[in-house]
Amino acid sequence: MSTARYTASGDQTLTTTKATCLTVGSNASTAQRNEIYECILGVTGTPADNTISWTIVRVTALGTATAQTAAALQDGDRAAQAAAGSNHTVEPTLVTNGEVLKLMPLNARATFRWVAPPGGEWKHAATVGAGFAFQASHGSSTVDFQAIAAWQE
Amino acid sequence: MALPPGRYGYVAIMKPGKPTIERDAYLCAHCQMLCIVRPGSGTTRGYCFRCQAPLCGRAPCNQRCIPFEAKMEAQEGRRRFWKQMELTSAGEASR
Repeated sequence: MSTARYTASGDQTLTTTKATCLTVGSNASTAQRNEIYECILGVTGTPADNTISWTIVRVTALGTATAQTAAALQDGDRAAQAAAGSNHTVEPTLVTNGEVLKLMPLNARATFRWVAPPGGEWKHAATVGAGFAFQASHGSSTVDFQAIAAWQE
Repeated sequence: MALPPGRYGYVAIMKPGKPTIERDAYLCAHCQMLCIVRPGSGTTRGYCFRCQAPLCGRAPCNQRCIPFEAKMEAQEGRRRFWKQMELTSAGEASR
């Protein structure tokens, strides 16, 4: 089956509690599965030697965010069906014990990249609102952080 | 615990002025948690002989084999049932 690939990014300002910079999930009208095969996490502000705590977690509702237009990675592909949102003002509804990347400490100057093997992608069920949230927090730093996700659908 | 070639993902951590850290990574067969392989770390994970795949080591994943694909299908099945019954996820009539 031929799949189309897309990418989107989102940013947010660090706070002491988990804040979401990016969600990727099933849109509100047509439920479908999405498979995230790559993600990049980092800081876009001026970083210091802080250790930021990152989490990627499953959600059942995507919260309220600025909609992001997913970029198709190949010419001629249709527009993405997945809903991507950035800079959340209402946090998503998290799945209990739904972390797929749990509290990973990462120096603010560092960039983290994960690439899945074929067939080893993060997948979510085809139910409205299901998806993934990319979150981070720090005790005092207030720099902006960013996540980039690439997925197929 | 070794996976066949091609089953590992890849993690890179890049920091200015430091060598790039590269690690193999895999997803738990039961919950899809990302596990970064650190040789010699002593971290105890798990292995499912039914799925023939490594696990994250969390108790719910180690104790019972429920492949992640089955969990997704169950979730989708519940949603289809609610839709057929014209119920919302809270179990209330939608109209």
